[in-house]
Amino acid sequence: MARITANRLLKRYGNFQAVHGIDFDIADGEFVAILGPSGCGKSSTMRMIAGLESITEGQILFDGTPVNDVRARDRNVAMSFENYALYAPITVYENIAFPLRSAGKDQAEIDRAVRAVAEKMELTPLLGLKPGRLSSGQAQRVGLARALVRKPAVFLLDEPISHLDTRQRYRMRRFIKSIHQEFGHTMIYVTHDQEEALALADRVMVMSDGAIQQLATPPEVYSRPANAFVAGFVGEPPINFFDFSDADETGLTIEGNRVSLTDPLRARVRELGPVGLAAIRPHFMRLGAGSPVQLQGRGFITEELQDHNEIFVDIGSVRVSLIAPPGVKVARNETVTISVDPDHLLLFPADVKVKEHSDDL
Amino acid sequence: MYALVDVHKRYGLRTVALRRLNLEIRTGEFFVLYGPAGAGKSTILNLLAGLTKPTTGDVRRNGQSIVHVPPERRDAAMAFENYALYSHLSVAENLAFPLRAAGLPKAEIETRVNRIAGVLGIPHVLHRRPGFLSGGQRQRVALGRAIIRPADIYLLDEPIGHLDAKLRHRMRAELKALAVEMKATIVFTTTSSKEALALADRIGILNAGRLEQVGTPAELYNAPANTFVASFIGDPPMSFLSVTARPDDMAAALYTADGQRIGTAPASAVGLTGLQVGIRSNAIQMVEPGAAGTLAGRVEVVEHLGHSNIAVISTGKDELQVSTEAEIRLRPGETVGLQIDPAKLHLFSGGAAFADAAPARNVA
Amino acid sequence: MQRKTSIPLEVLRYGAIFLVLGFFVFPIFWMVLTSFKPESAIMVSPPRFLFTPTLDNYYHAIVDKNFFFYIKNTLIISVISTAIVVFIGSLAAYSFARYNVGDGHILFFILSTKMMPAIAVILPYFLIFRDVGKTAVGKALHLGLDQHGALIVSYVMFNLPFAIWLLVSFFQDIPRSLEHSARLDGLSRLQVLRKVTFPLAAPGIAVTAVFTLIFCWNEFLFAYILTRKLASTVTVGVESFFTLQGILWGPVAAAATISVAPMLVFVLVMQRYMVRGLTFGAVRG
Repeated sequence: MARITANRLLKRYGNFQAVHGIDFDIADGEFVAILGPSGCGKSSTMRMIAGLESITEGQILFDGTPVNDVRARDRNVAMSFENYALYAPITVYENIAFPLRSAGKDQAEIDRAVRAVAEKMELTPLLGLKPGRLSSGQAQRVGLARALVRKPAVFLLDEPISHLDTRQRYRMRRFIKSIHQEFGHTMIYVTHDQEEALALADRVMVMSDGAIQQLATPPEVYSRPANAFVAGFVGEPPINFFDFSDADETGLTIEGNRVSLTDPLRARVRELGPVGLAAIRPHFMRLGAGSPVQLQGRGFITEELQDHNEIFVDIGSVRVSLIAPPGVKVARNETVTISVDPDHLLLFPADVKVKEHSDDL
Repeated sequence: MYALVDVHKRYGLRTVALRRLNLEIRTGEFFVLYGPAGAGKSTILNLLAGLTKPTTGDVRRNGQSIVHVPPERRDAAMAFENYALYSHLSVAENLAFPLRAAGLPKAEIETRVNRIAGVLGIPHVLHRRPGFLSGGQRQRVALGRAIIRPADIYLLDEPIGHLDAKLRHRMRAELKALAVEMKATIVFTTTSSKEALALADRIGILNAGRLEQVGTPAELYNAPANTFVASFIGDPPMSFLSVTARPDDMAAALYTADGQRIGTAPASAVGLTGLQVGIRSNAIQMVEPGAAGTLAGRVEVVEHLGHSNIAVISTGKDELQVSTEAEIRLRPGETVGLQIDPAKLHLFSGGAAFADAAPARNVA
Repeated sequence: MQRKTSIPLEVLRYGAIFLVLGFFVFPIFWMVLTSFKPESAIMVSPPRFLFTPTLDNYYHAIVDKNFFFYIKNTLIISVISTAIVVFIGSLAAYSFARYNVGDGHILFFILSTKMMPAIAVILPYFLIFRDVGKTAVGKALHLGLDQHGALIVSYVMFNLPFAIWLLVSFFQDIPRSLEHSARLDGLSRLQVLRKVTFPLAAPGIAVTAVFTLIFCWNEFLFAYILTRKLASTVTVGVESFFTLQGILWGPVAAAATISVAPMLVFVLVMQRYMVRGLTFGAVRG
């Protein structure tokens, strides 16, 4: 068990700076997800914690002790990779016992530890099998058991459940969460999938361009994003962005629609000036009139997801999506009015290029 | 119209990809093949494209066998999951490849390449080689190369699966609109329930080489044929409770293991073993523990998904997934009461939908 | 910002680089130097670096010994052998990679022929070519002793296993879906090979060609046993400078320099492709 602190942690590869001197403090037993697009520095950060990557500048401390010069194998960190490398010729039991044997533990102790972890991971009936006969889910559990049997201080997971189907994703998530509740390790989970990060973590650390954009609990990251990047990266379906202009005490203009503002938003406009970026989640927009913030648009397409519909509407040059109850539809090019819940309208400064897809570098 | 008739497909001696499969793809429909990895989705696309032949069985187009028609004469366009871009050609040349092969004039090719690049948002990378593109850009080029030419059938193998969330969301709507416009016959594979429901006219659920059920999204969602389909359609997936049916004054009542009555069933369900009810996360209400007519549950895990939370709640030996408002705070270990809407139960017997067509909903 | 490095460490680094470089480059340098030395300056101790350069050695090698004749033979034999190896090799490798012909057994068998030491087969080869050369077919194809055909066949036999083995991995690296995609676009099997597969495998084919050509160019044992005069290659030509009167070091150096030059130019030209070939597969989806 360990508390992990980073002090101005910086990573440079040649002339490229991957991590720009970040600070964070992860409590003992906490589950933190590092979330960000590829190239944001999340994997470098995790590898520095694991000791697989040298630290260019700054410090990492485990329980207050700097570990910069401690080798990876002496840090007592367990890491699970996307494909769990099991040793094929030996049984599940021996696979799990392997780290203990190489640490030179005595037989009785090994047996006790292996059986204890196997019990908790529901692997007891499989102990005598060889890895070749396991399903992929079972193999993953064995891989995790082998990582856990050493009683690591920190458990690092690098995108272990990408590319699974919907049902398996839920199962694996449930499983990882239960490991955390069962064993209570400090866990760090690196992912580019916002749903996984929100679902699993006590706190989410959103990274982009080598810097921490926000480190907060999932509800906070979702409802009070620190900036437009976080707002755009977190949430499913993704948040809708608009440029706004001519903002003043009376209201602001979004794609030709003049809308009036509530008091908190007026204060925000005073900070931001006349132009900026407005953002609203699909859940807080609905078809029809009845809000001080109303937008005119043309229908594009309706997706019927059975328990709800998702409707795409073009407002000026912006295509937005909104969530509607089953049965509510728009026709292509039908003129529609959209009401926005003003309490959930977010305003950001104009200079952030969040409307570009992260993919188009 | 395309049809797979009694198709059995084996690779090598032991690997069976498809088992006696029958499937019809109707002209002009958007058909989604949805299933876990390794279920046989890509094999079906390859059979339709002519890239592989069935071990036994027939592939037909408008009633005529096309098993022996080579791929180059099938008029099928395909987007491959691993992109299959020519690394020695630029993006523009990759997109133009099918048109050149068809012998179109140069000016025409250029117009079409530029138009499709605009739709996919990649006009600025046309001169680059695929090696210098991001994964998402490569996938869009692969999709573009498939839809750039008119074809009798479009086979799209997880064509938006590797895009980032934002782009995938946008491309999904774009693709649906395009399909409606082109009135094209499309077969699309995915591992995402949401993609399947959003795009499909009909969905085929594939599991270990067998079709579990084929139907419209509404049919699969409202009347799943078995527990596999039920747990596969919908996000979050359906959860299941083991129940027993006991005689009631009208027909039969369903009881959980700890004796709570949760719904009704036709009399024919009485005495059956292996009865389960499937409940979607939005059919369960969280109430004060101990209220009459509710199940007692223990909160195991709470997942925050932004707009809503999903709580995994154990009751007896089963676990239920319950959607709650984001504002409701639950702690693991807490005891809660569960009110299940009896009109929204799906009854399964031995894994298959209970034969007396959706009785629980009508009787309750 | 630049990485900070200590001066002694840098000195050590460059020292090591020069040491390794010297180890490899010095023999070539010495060979070229010797080729310009008068005979009096060659086998002396201590070695002399300063002398009046002369072209006598080249004159002796080229005019007296007619060394360009050997170069011509080598060129004919190497280029034809390489062309055959690359042609047969790529087709064979393609079918092994794509259709798994022989389920791996044939591929292993082919590779296993490479494990036979050349010395073990040289005598049978000699006898076979002696007899084949007397037949009508053998005469037409120049397969007899001291004829180009015999050496070409030997080199093809000897290089093909390695070439196939090398090329199989290159073809395996080309995703099958690329060919599938091209076929759906309306190309026939052969068109797909020509327009998609071979262009993509070009770096691998280039690497194979380079290795084969260098082998053929440097080969000595077969050339020495199977030729006398008419089809002798450069390696045998250089050997002929080892006379009963003694070794003519100057002309040897001159001849060696002449024979190394084309290879050097060739490798420099192919280097670009070779690097691409050796890092092949790095740029894919």
